[in-house]
Amino acid sequence: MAQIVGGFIMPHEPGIFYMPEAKWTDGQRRVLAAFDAIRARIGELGATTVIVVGADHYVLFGPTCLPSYVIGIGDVSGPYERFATIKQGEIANNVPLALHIAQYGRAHGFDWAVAKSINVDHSIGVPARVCALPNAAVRGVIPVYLASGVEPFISMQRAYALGGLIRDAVEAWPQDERVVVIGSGGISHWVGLPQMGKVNPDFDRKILDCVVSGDPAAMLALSDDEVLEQGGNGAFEIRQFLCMMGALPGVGGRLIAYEHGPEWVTGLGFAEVGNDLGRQA
Amino acid sequence: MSTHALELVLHDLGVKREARAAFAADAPTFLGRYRLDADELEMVRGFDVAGLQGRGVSALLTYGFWMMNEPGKSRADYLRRLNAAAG
Repeated sequence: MAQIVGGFIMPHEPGIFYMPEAKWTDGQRRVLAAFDAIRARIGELGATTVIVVGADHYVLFGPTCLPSYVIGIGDVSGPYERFATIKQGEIANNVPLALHIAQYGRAHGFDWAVAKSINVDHSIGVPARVCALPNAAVRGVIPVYLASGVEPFISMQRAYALGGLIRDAVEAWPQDERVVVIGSGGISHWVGLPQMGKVNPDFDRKILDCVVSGDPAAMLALSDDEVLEQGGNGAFEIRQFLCMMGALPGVGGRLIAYEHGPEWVTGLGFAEVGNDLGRQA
Repeated sequence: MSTHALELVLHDLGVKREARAAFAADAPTFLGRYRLDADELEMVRGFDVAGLQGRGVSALLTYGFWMMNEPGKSRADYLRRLNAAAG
């Protein structure tokens, strides 16, 4: 029987991987160590499939079609951006499980858009390449994109519910599979706005507290206007965190790292949730 | 004509290499493919990213448009331009 064995949040800030080693700061080293820690934990969990939930940045999907949520059920490659230390090209997908999740969703009130062929961006390519695929037991990465970068957004509640759907679908899969879900996104950041470069650590800590406690209530209570005011337009990416949390409802965890600084444009949060780490009372 | 038409232009200029080449070579001819009024056309030609945002264009697109098409491709210049408009 398939099961979800753990969840993570992590950033996908391109600046981390564009930065040459000669310019690494202590913070950059801590950030890279956090990616290493997640990669190791995915291995320790014995994950065989990793579902990465990311956000399009108005690149993969354009004004002619903007899906609310989409799952890759076929060929996957990426990331399309070139980073000196990250491989490009084909990414193994667990096609049967991805197709099952899509079909299970359509039978249970979640009309997935599907991608039969997709060249993912850094929001999925970074977690896939840096944390998932280096583990030999990981046979596939299933990409999921939420509408959290471009309006109209998927609602926060729907993003959380979609995580629950993913959990139900995985648990209905008859084959043995150990699945990890990653919510990939920055916390506070103002992308392309006059405040670009600003972060709000108080907002970031509030979000991370929710993730680590396994309690999404304070996040779900935020209106989009409040998120924009406190965390900027980039903070709409907390939907990816909610989706992961919905796949592990009530499950707490631990903070791995939190960093912000002039090297990057976003608050960078790393956390793990899992049944062996803590369950909300 | 609309925010949507502006977003279509900027999306094309962000993701399509041939669009960027055509825009750089002859912006009026390239922009003639889109349903833009004179004001909108001038905002795109002039990299008026604040004006574009004021028309409701996504900041993701204005930033990508600048970084992929403005000759300097500088984030600092982009922010100077935005903030100058903000006063």
